[in-house]
Amino acid sequence: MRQSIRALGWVVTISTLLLFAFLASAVYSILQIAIMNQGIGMGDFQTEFKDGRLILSMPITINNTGYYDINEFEVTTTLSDKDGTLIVTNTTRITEIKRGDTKSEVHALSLSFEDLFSKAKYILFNDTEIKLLISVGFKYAYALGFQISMANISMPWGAPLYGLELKELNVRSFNGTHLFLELSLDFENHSFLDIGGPLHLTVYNENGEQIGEGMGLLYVPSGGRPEEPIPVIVVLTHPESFTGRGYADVSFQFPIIEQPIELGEIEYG
Amino acid sequence: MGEIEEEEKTGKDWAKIIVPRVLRAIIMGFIMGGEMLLLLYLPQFVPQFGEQAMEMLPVQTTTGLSYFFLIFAGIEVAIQLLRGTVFPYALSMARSIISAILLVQMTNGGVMTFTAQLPSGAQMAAGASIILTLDFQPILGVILLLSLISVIKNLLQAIDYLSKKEEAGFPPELP
Repeated sequence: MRQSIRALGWVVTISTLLLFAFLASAVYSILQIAIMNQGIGMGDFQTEFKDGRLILSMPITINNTGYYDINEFEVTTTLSDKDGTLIVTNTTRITEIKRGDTKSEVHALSLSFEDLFSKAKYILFNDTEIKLLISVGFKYAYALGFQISMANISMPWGAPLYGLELKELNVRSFNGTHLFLELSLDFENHSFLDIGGPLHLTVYNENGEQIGEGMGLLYVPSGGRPEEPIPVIVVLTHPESFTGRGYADVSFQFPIIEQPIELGEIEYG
Repeated sequence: MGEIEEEEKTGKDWAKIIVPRVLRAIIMGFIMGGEMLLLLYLPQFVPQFGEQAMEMLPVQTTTGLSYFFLIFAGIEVAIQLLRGTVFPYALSMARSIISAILLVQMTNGGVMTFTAQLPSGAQMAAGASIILTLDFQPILGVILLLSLISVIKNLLQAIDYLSKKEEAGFPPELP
């Protein structure tokens, strides 16, 4: 009995000493990597605009100068709107960084404007904030898990069609096959990009019968407003139905998005 | 009969027994958690030193920690005062079990989360918060295992103590 008790006592004592020695060395080592040697480095976000997508990329370099291996290293970035609706997320993983090794990776977040506008159409017309969440997690020495998250980082979003108002649609002339209109609209381009693209008009008479379709060109630089009415030429498919009065459905085709954006309805005549 | 009967102890004899025990209990109680209690409650008495001490601690709230150290120190004092009886083994077992439960509760099962707010002066990150999550479940598992071994050891010691007492014979009741 006495021998077993003594053995158990030694097991507890030695195991406790080993455990605390391991803990102390692991904590010292991780502090050395993260603070003294700056072993976990993440560069600034680089922005690139390509094929209708905004690509945010961030270089990551891990130099494991510690006593133990780093594994399951993950960097996750998430963009969500002000209500918390997920816009886009991406995770970059580095499986293992042995002690003494250095590994580099580029973490990229690709934001499709089509996805963005389809998920949150209101951001076309309203300034808002986009929330960014950056999360870095890894396991050290296969026993200690660390996760550092930076939440609620706000990025201001400027609406490209801020305060849009379809003001007037005037008939300039009619030649039997074509209808020449002028569309006045007002908004402010708060976006960091210039807006340019075709305006589509589907024209109806006052009885609601479609009489033709037309197109005009809209260009507003970043920070600007449309200063003059936009001329629109409408090809009449049913010229006999033109009564001089009616309404038109207006949509705008962003070059970076396949689907046209409905801007609303406006009366003419 | 006279061999096993003890002589009536005088006040001096009792003092010789009790004073060293009390001193030992105070010293061991201080080592086994008392000093941490002192550190935790120092801010209330010496505010300047207290702030620095609190910065060194891994938690913001001291409530859970103070219970932990209070139980540790309190049981250690009781163990030292009751030396030579079976109670220290029972108290040691209780201490192992209670400290294991408290440790699991205080560390949220080995996953602790700390939140810090970034200063409002930071441009893009104004109002942003940094959340640090520390997951040490494997370490906590080993600590719990060691607590369990400690409980078993104390149980065996208690059995051993009682069996020895049985063999030696208990002293007769005092008249």
